[in-house]
Amino acid sequence: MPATLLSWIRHNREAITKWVIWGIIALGLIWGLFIADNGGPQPIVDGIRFGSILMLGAIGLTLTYKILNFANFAHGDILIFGAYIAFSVDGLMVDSLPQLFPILADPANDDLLRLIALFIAMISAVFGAIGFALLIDRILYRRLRRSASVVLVIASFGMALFIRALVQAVWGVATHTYSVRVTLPMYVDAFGIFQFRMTLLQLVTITTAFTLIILLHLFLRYTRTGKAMRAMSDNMDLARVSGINTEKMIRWTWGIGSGLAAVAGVFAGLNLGGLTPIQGSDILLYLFAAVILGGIGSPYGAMLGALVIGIAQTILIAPVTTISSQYKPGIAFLLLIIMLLVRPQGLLGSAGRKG
Amino acid sequence: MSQIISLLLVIISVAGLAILLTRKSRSSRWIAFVGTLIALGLTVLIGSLLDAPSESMFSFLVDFLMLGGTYAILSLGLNVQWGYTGLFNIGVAGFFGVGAYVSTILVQDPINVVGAGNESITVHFFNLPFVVGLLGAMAASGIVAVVVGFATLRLRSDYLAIATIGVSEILRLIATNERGITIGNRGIENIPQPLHQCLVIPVGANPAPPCDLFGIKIPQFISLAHYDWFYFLIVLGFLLIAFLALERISRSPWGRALRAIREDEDAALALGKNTFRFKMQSLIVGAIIMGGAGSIVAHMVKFIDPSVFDPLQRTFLVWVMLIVGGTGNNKGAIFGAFLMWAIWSTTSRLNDILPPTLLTPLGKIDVASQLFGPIRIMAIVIALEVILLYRPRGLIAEEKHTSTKIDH
Repeated sequence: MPATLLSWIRHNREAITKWVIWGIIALGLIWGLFIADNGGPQPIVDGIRFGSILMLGAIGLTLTYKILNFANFAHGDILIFGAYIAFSVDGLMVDSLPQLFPILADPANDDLLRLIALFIAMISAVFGAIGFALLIDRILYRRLRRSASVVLVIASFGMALFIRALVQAVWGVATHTYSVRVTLPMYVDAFGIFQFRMTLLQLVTITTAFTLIILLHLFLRYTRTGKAMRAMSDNMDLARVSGINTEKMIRWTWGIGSGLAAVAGVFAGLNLGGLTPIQGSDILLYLFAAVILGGIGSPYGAMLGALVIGIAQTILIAPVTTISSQYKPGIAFLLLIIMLLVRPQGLLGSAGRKG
Repeated sequence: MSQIISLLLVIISVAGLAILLTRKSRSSRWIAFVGTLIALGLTVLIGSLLDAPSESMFSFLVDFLMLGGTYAILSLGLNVQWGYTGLFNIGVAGFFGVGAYVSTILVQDPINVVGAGNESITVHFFNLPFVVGLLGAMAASGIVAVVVGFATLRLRSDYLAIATIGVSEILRLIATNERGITIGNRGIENIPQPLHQCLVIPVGANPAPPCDLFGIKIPQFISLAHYDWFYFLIVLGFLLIAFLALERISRSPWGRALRAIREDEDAALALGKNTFRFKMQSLIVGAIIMGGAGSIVAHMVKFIDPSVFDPLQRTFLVWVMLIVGGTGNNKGAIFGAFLMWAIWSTTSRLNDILPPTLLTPLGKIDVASQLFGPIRIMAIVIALEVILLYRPRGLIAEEKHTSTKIDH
């Protein structure tokens, strides 16, 4: 009997590890919800909020990894670059909109003015980030397309420092905040026993993130471009032979990734208490952890990984008050290392991604 | 005057670099190389004759050589990992910082600790000799490499990059938050230097007792200003040992196996090489060298804080040095380190020449604090990208290593 059991385990090791990991995640959720002293739904809601920001950022990282075949270390800084563009446009709009539309100059409409300004700022941040990413691709990455992937990684690492320095030169090192008032509270009580607070900002963050993700899913699933992108991520050469314009698809990849990253950057600036130039490198580690946890190259894996990372760190930090909250990135990274050891292809990835 | 000299130094170095990068023929590159060196030497000489007293010019030179030497050690360590084996480590700062902290904690005297801030902290330092600190630093860095290697070396090379940058970040968090071990952001001051009491004549009226070294009493015989010369010998010694050892092993079967893995891992595997073990050994050897560099820097500048984990100064600059100098070539690694350090350290003096503030149509810009640092970084990034695009082999290309057993 033990011999057959052992051989059964050996044969199904992949599946067993996978289900053990899912089990640990479920146990963690239960522990955080019911058992931990300081637990309850509140840390989980906070975790989902942070996870949904990460989710938007992680999509771009995983797409460039799959389609362009390199780990883009400049992604976190593109994200923060977009957020800074939004900051500038936001300031400009708050000053200029009341002159264009006198109704907004009324102090009673002040909150509305700030919301409209932020919305316009976010749209322009998306286009700014897309334009910037395409420019970098045109100048630098395109010439290195035929190089080894590590050369591209070095180039992107340099680019990360370049963008950070650029942000620092243009906007300075001080913390910037958007003009919208983030303290509009809105209390949501749910399920009677499970009471948690949720501000309007949190609600908007979570719903926007999930809406964008559903739109992305529909795009990848049903449009011609989306299908071509998936074909390219499966096999670049085969896609090219079957007549897909690969350069165009690469531009789409940069566009989707950087656009979502810019939205993530704006929400990061709103939710995490302001913008600083080094935030890009801070958030990059979370993004990599999310992408690897979910399975590198898989957009749905990245979403899942981002949520797990976001929830895990609030669940683990909030109840155990002896751990300094400064160690939050440490938890993300610990999960990354454990995942690399036990299941390097990630939660949703398929086996055999060594190369 | 000294600003103009440093400006000249920068211009000459950049011009020499440009000539070296663009000329194809061997003889013209040698002429450019020697010409640049002579021009640099003449500038330093004229500078020392004109205004600076020769003493300070020499101490500047020693400072330059010491810091450049530590960068050369880091660059050699990275060369083992990246140049030989193709391991993509962008957490050089992590290995370096671990070395610096471990060595400091082992060597620092418990008495030297001043109560940090308002809270009273008991910090345990071990008061051991410098050699123990150096060896401990190298061992600790090697252990970090083992952990990172086990998690990532079986996977695609990008995973190692992500894990090393993560480890470096986590170590920085630990150094910042574990105040009981590292005194946090305040940093550790007055780190003792090797043989300082035995060599330096104490300042003050009463003569200090002669130093007791293994039972032999030696009177101190060098002045405080010249201690750096002694320390420079330590840096140089470590650099030389690392260089000679790496030159030797790069010609050994081990070195050839590493290069085989770099060129084609599957082929090496098919030839029966245990590639995981070779990669692990290479990662550890590189990490040990980087840890040693950390220890040496900590005792040189006598102060460390969490900024030793700065990815710009301690990772990116080292990468640029190695790539400029020549990936896979130890001489290139050392040459690139000194060259880029010359450019990097002298450009910091340009800040004195530039106007402190600039009036633009958009408003007043604070050049010194806001613009200068970022622009320097952007310039060095652009230099790296240009080299990656147009001369990926670096200034001194890799030599061909074949076994002496093979007939040519």
